[in-house]
Amino acid sequence: MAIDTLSLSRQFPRWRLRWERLRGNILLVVVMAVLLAMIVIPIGRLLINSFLEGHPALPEGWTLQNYTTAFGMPLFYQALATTLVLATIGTAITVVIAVLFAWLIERTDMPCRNLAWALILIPMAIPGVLFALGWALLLSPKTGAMNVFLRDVFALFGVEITEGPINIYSIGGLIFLDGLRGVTTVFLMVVGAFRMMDPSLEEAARVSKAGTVATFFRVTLPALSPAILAAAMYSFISSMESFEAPLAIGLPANIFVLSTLIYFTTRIQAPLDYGLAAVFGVSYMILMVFLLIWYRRAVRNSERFATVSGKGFRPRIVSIGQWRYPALALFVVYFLFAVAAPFCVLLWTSLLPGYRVPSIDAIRLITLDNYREIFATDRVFEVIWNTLVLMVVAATATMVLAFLASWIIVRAPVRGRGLLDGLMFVPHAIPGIVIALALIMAFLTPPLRYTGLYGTMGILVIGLVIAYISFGTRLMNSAIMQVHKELEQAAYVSGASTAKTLFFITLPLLFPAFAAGWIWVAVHALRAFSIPLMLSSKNNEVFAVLLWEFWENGTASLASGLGVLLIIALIPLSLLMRRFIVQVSGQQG
Amino acid sequence: MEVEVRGLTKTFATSQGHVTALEKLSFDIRPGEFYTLLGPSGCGKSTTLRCIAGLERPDGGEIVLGGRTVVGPGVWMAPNERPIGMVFQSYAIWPHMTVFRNVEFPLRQTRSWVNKTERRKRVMEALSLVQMAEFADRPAPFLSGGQQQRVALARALVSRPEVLLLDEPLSNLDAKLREELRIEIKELTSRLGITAIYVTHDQIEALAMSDRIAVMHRGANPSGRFAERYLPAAGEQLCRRLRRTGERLRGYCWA
Repeated sequence: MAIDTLSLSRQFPRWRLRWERLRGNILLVVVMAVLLAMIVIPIGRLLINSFLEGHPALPEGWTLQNYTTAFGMPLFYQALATTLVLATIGTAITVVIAVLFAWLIERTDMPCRNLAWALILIPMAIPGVLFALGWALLLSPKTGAMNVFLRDVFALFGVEITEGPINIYSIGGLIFLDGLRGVTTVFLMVVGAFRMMDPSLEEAARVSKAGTVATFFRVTLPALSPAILAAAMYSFISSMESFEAPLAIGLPANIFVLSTLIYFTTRIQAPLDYGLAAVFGVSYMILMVFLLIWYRRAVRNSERFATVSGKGFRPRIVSIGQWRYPALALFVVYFLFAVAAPFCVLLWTSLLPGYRVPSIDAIRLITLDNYREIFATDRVFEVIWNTLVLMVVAATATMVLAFLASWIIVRAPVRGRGLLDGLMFVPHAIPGIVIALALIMAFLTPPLRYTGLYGTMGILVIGLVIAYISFGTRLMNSAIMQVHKELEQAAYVSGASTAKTLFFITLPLLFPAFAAGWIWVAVHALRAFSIPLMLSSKNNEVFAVLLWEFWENGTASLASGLGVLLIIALIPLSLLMRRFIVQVSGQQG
Repeated sequence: MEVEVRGLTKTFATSQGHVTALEKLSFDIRPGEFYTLLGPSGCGKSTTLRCIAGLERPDGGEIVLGGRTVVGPGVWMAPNERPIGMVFQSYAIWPHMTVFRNVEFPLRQTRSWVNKTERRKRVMEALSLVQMAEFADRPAPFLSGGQQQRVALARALVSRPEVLLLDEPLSNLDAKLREELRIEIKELTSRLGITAIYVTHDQIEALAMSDRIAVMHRGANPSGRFAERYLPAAGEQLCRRLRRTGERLRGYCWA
């Protein structure tokens, strides 16, 4: 056999075959090069810059100073500790609420369950920054609407205070926001498990004389623990990356997490220190990569012990008797806190000339002037246009690249596709703020400086494409695997080239998945905040950034008006997205 | 068109190392001949066909179609450049197109532009060859298995290829339909005078249709080997068994 192989390679020179293969697949080579460049160059730049002194565009030489400074900074360790504490406690709260509602809505006779199912999805349509701003208006210590209300109640009992009682600008406030924020995602990740669980497990517990509560804690929860654990880890990772609430609530109170520390170092403090920020970015990224590897392993292991089968069981409804209405009340309270209260306070503020505590007197002042003012500024139309362009271009670019990448991973007869598969997973582990930081550095230095994309819409599009390409590729991978190989081969033998086959046969066949991914990216691009903010300049402002600018300039009513408009645009889009994604893959948006 | 296969060798990389699927396989097919590769699954007959189509790249040897080398030392012609038509086991009818669009597709890929009326004429011609003309505007998913296979045949023939490759085209159909289509395919290819290479594991099918049969056999070696080189005895035995089934042997057993 060995001799045969030798003689064969003499017969077909290797380099020659390789060259011919390349020549026939120029499209694939270009795609792989683009993807590689898109991910490797910024990360490489980030690493290099962590060893450089001075501004990235004008480096002053190699140094380890950045590392010694960073690791000698108490603030860095404080931020790290805050990030971990916030993520841990926040995730615990999220998981308890989400699991409880998944069980109540899916498996008990709580009233209005179908309505609750629909309502629990609504937080998806509220960008994190608006959620935080809403609560800042509700619970700021002096003028927060809810604080004023609480003080009035206390006054009835003769307790007079002038401030508080609750201060949102605190670590407690951050934990509260983080805990509420992730409920929808975790709910969607565990609710399927509740539905698919074999009811005979619980029936066996009941006939063994266990009560409802004992059955829930002794049988239902342990049986579902793999799914719950996976969801909890996912939620922990998202909390580690959260930026919006720590920016709006944490920074004014001098509470730093890793993401806001990077933002502060590169956008606020004087002088800006890119080298230091690069060190923070590298540490942050390494931490997240380890967390994600740990998550992937855990999920893979938990699949081995799956108690949840794919069989379609009719879920057994548990009667919770007199607890039905308290359960519903609990859900109503959650909905008030997660959606109704922050949205209403934004709406209220947007209808008044300036922020006022809600009262009967103030109703007389209600006006649409803020909206008029918003649309009277020229910049607004430019910003709306930018936002739409960003949505459409980022969604299209992400999905086209993801489609081609997946096709190479699943189908193409080229080496290195395993590498590509691994590479497409990397951006998933990088927080948006670090992507943005790496892009700033990459586009301030050669070779990418010559593209002139710094400070334009182009760099924003690239940032969002990197942020969302992991999701797109995962979606496209499973879709392409479902397209029978022979359908493509039939096109080749009919005389079609690879490019024509991809365009006329493969793409139309998986169009539903492509469209679902497109909408997913578009929705996320519309509410994206950290990347557009980090990369923003005069010419590439988008809606969320303008909103933040209004807020920072103290015009809360204009910011609220923009926020209300954004939420109204996002509600139908989010629901549409969820319907598409569920149809295509059963994956959770 | 004459088909020559010379010293064709193909190995597959698996997790357990390399598996030789074809080793130095050679045969010739005369123009207009109906040539069948017969053998059990895993003997390499589909691999041979896919090498001729260009869907697999052999590790050695050469394939010559009508005097033109399509694959050989330093030569590689992509499947879309070869003068072939192919019918797949799974039909591979594109579900997002109508019957007409499916059959029209190869005509849209040709280098020399075929205009619309000409395209329509040739598609309808191909469809009437397989008696599917009245289904032209039907979406592909609304066809039965037998109808899909007829469309696949029309699609393979519409660009008037010189070599028709058929990869177990009848194995997903029920017995009655198989018999019907068997006769149709045979008649069609002899009427058009096209060279056909047919892959099957069904002896009856091979005997009923072929001008010539090549028996491929899996040897003691786990890889498939061509009867010619390793197993003349086994080949003859198989031919005797074929004769016993009572069908008349057209052509002769080539072993």
